[in-house]
Amino acid sequence: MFHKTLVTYVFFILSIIFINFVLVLKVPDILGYATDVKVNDLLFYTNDLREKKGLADLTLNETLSKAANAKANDMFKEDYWAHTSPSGKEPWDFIIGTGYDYIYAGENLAVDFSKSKDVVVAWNNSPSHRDNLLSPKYNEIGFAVVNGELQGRKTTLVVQMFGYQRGKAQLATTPPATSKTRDVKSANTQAAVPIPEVKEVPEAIPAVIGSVLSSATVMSASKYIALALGLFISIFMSIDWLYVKRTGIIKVSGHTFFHILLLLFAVAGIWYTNIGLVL
Amino acid sequence: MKSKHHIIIISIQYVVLILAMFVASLLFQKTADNFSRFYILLILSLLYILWGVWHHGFTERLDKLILLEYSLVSAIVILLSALGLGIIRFF
Repeated sequence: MFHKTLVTYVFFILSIIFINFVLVLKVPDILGYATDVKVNDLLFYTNDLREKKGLADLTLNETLSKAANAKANDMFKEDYWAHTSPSGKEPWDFIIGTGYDYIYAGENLAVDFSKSKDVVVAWNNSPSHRDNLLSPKYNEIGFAVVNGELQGRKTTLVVQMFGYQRGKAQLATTPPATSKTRDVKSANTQAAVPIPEVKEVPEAIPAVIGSVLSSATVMSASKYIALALGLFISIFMSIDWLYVKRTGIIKVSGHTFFHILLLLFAVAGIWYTNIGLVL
Repeated sequence: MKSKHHIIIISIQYVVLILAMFVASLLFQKTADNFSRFYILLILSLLYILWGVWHHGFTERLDKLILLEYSLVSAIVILLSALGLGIIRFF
């Protein structure tokens, strides 16, 4: 009986490897894009978080969105997943490149998400990203939601850029300081920051809509498959444990109870985690 | 009949395992990226094998099959974590 249990465990391992191979490594090669990540929804969830903390809403700025799009396209072109490009371009270079003269600027990145809410939740769960989301220094925001191939797989990239523009009354005497951190402070501390004019909200950038499963959707599917497999194996082990106890079979084996506990711990961890990545 | 010392050591072993899972859950909440979470589960799974060796070695029931069983369970947990956390795509 003990050997049959071990054989069953080996079968589970081979099944998981097979699912990994087919679902995660092979399926994305033949699929295209589709995502439910939308700029309007990202803006809504971001401002919703800010309102709950008593902060003012961020206004969608077309220039910042253009900068975000430029950054996203550069990431696909140079095939990197980082704030600084391999050629040394910082996020602030893209912001300045679109003519947005900022006092404060920041950037959050996300990849492989299929829902807008999951993106914002993932950012909010990370202290450094949450600092950007909830910073009182920013008053404007820009988004890019772009499909492309990054590091060998088709995916959806989300770039979120924050900013506070230098007002016309400001003296633009010193260049903006650059920093390794995402929140950049200006070197100009001489004049008080004027309250900027309220701008008209530019037309929202239309969401990118695809027609087939994306890498993000496949990743979500792999999460739920892992959860289902984990629960199935836990139930199998529980039945085995109860059967052995009831029938009084003497089985020289490990502690099935602790096997189940470890497995359920992993299942809980997978459930708790978002499948996409943030940076 | 098990001695009092024997029972105390086994109880400590159980407490150590539960404590390791508790510490892992705290670390899990502190991290935001999937790689760190995968490493936490990987380390926990490897520690589980060591725990199995310690526990069964103490109870004088350690043999190759029991070691294999703990290794297989840890392998299942590691593979499930890699699949569920989206890590497998990077290999």
